[in-house]
Amino acid sequence: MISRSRPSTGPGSPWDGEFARYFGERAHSLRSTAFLLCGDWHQAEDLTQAALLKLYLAWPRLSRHDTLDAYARKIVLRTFLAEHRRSRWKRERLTDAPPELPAEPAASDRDELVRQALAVLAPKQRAVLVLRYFEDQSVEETAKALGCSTGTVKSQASRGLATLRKRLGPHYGALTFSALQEGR
Amino acid sequence: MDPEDDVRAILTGAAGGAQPPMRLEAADVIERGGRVRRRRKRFAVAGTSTATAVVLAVAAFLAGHRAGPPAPVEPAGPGLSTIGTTSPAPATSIEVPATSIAPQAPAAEPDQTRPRSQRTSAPQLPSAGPRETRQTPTATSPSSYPVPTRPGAPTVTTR
Repeated sequence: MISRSRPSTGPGSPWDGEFARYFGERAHSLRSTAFLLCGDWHQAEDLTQAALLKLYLAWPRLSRHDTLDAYARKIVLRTFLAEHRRSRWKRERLTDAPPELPAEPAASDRDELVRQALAVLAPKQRAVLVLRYFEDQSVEETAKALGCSTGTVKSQASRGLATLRKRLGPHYGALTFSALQEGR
Repeated sequence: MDPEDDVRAILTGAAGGAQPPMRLEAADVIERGGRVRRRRKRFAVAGTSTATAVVLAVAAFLAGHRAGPPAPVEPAGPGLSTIGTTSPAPATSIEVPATSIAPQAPAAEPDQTRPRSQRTSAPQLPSAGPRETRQTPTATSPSSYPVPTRPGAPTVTTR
């Protein structure tokens, strides 16, 4: 997917327009994926920005633009996992009193429950669940994105689902029912 | 219903609900990416220049300290201490007074020489008796040899 050719760079790169178009189409989707991974909209936006910056830097070397979505998802995933691998003293600390308070819509009880349940999972289990059941990726695609075997994906998905069901407890059925009702 | 559909519905509902407005813009990412790209280019130029300078410095150092081809060996010339310190032998035939003892036979064969220490001064006159006048060659260069007398020349004796 990445070719070796490296065109000239400059202040006004020829691929800026193409990248801006892709940004407008896919930024929200990438941010939703990042939100399910990290559980916070602000952190998800930072994650999306870092991933899109990496994508922009790699853009002139990309030869197959038809698989950009998978590549961008992979960048978000790797950035999230790399952020969690960092040691504690290197990681940016989030405070409860940010300097600016954006108008965040009040999360419903259902979203809060799901967010708390996802936060309990290990980062890799969360990544597997998001890729498999939110992005509708196959086991093979998930394994390729995570750089692990398909057996690992299956085991991580099974454990993650069990933890999620156990964590949601009696709310699991109601959440499923309401989600399916909204989907119709 | 697929047992995994409920999980899909939950995740889709959690991420697809009300979302805060997107504060991120493409222009910001493009501007930041341009800065990163220019910085990488500057680092690449600086690194290449530094590497070139280091290579040139090492090459100059090695070229300066490398031993050149050995100088050709020249034959040794006459030393300063031997030039002109020996004078040529004087004339071999010297008149000897008649009162000197006439030997029956030459004390030594004409070609025999007695070892004599190197002399750097003019030879002394013989006091008496037959004497070989040829000087022994010294260890000096051939140019400093005294002129020898003829080996077959008879010595002057009195009868």
